[in-house]
Amino acid sequence: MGLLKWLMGSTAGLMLISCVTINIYFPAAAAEKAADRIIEDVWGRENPNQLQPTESEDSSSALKQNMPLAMQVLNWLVSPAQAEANLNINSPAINALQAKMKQRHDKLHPFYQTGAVGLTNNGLITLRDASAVPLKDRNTVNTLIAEENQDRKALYAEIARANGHPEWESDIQETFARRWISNAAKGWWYQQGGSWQQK
Amino acid sequence: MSSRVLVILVLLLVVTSQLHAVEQAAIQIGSWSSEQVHITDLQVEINLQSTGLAINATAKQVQLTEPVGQLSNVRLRCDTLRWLSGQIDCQSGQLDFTHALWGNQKIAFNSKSRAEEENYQLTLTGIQLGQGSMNVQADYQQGQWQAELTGKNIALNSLVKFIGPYVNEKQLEMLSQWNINAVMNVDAELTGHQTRLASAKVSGKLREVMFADPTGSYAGEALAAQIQVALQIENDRWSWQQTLTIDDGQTYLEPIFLDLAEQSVTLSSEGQFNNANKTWQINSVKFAQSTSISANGELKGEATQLTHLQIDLSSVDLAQLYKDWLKPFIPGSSLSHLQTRGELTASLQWQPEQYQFQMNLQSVTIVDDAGRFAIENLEGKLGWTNQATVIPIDLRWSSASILSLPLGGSTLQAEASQNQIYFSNLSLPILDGELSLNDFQLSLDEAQGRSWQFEGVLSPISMDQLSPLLGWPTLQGKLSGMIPKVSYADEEIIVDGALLLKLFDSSTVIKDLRLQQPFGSLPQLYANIDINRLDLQTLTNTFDFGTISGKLNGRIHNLRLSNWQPVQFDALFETPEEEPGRRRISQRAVNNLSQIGGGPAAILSRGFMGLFEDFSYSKIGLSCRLMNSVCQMDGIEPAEQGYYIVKGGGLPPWINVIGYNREVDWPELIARLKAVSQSDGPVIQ
Repeated sequence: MGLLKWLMGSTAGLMLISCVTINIYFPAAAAEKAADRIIEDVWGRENPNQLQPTESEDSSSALKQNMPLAMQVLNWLVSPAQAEANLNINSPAINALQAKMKQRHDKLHPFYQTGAVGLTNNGLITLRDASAVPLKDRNTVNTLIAEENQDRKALYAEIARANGHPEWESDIQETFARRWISNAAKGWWYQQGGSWQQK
Repeated sequence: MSSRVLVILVLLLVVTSQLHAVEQAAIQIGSWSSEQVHITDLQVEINLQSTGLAINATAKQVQLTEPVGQLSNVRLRCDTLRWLSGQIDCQSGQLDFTHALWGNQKIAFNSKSRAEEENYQLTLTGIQLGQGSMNVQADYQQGQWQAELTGKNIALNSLVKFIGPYVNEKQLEMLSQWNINAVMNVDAELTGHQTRLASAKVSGKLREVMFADPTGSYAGEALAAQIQVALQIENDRWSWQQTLTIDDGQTYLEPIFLDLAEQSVTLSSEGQFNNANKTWQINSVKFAQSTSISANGELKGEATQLTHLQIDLSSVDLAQLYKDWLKPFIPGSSLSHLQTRGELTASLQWQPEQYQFQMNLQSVTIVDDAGRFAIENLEGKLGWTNQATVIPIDLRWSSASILSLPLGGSTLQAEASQNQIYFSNLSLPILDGELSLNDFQLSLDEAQGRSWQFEGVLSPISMDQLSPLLGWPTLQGKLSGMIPKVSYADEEIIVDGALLLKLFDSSTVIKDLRLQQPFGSLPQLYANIDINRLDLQTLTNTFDFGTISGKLNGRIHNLRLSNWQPVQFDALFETPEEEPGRRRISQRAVNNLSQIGGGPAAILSRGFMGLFEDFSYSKIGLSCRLMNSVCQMDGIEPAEQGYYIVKGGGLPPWINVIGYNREVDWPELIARLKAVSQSDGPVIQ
């Protein structure tokens, strides 16, 4: 009797926790694909490090491995296909932002190349080495960086809102942070664990 | 002093020898030490000549106290040494030595000394400092001294190593991280007492000045400058006058970039420093950058702390002032791409916890490059303070615009005090109507940032004037509203209450209006809209859609516009339950409706129905739930495999229009609507 009670109690508890988890489940693999599509469009195809399909699969399976067994079962019960929705990135607002960022990239590109501008670990960019920028261009670079970061933040928020989950904003930002770095061209600088690395 | 002792010693030796027989003496002293000097392998040769004594002393090494340190291969020559009644002169001497920092030096000197009167004069010429050279002339009399220094082509980085012993390790480390260089010609006159400096007058010309800090926040390239400094020291009181003009090169002092070749800069100041209590006062500081800015100020402070500031500035070229001094502080903001012109004067008074700022504007025009806002011919005065004192604000302008809405000229009287601006009324003409802002209050709070609020009345604006400005088709009707409260905080404008829109004989109410980041990357507008008894005949005639008579109720809830484009809403339009009057729909309207619905399958029957010009209906309705660029469509009630958009009823002939597409691509739907309103419409056979 005691065993049955314990079993019932803990199952109910498990269900409750699991339900909450399902509600906030973030479609990581879909987000990576969406991020890669946008990054490819903004940066163009010149980057030799094109997205490797295995990577996104790896991380989504890693995510599954980290999931408690009960949740995996529950995911199977409620059909993961439903939970793992595709991320829509085709709204006019997102397209407008993407077009602005693509246009700006031509101006930012030389500064990525020289290492003046680096990719931060939170999906933004920053002035990494001011001395690599001619004096007269420093304000221009500061403006480009500020505007790019504004657009990137707006993009992350808009993707979350457009998909009906404003609370996904930080997950989307994290996903983008990883994908910008992963897609960066050879020689570009990125932040990792508080220090700068070169690809 | 020690060399003087040495000379006396040597002369004593000479004198005690038999003077007649000896015309030349060479003395090998070996090493010689005192507290301040240690000489090794000292050799002195003395020749008696008709003009006086000739002395030639050499030493392998002379160890002097720091900061000079060790000199090697030292040679001191004087062919004209005179020693007459306590006066020792050397009219032309030569001192050669090698020093680790100073390199090989060949310095010509001229000295006079009257030891009893404590009077010494020394002239040194040809001191080598890197590629440059320096001459020094010094007089010393009973503790008072004066010196004149003239330097030519002296490279600043060759000086940095000489100052090593005078600065502490921390300063030295900081200096070593900075990259500094300049070539200068300098003239200095110094006076002093014992070891203390009493006055200094320095004038210099610097060229090829470059500096850069390790982070790149401060840098200068190819600068050319003239500097004049006069310093007087009396007891603990230092006073100075200084002028600096920089007229070539470029500099970046984060975030300011100045092209000094284009716009030269002059900075002069006059002030005092009290070394006893570390207080300082700059009675007059003047800064001028060609036409863009000229400032005049007074500053007081204690150690590195500023305690009082009063500054007046004026600019006759607002474009340059904005470009150089304002824009760099706001990169990427809504104010960072402006065209500005006009003139202004301003004054700032500051002391800890208290400040007051006032500005006078003349013919100021500000236009946003992205066309989001503009104001023309702004005149008058404005100000800001955190004090209880009231600063009057009195502004007028000839025209303005905001988000493509033209606003007419107006005047504003307001009051600024305690980090707030308040005015009771401002009328902004908009097209043929007017927005009246009442009880406006703007506050700046350290914790909450900028916020403002007002109450307002929007008196009727004709939609036929407004709609093309918003990029809509020309609509008839009026927009008006009572606005109980509009507030702005955290980059969000919230409109309490409702805006009333009179369109197509309907009353449309816009509620819960919110606007996030109005000038940001992606402005977000949220609203709930309710439309009451829209006259379909007026509507369909306006859009050349075919004719539908009857009324329509509608709602567009949870509307979100991102960057002014609809991306989400929950809309429903339908015939009101109780509405007397004709309900007819023309063939063309039926056809157009079916096109919007997505194809030929929407019409029940064609051939027979083609005989009638119009049909009666009992109900018409359509709903669309927009999300992810997909419109989830539905009608008034379900039909087999679809939904009714128009349901026949009343007097025959009737017609039913049934839609089958539940999911319609939103951009495609918009394209279809546009095609329908532009086409003449096919005729049903």
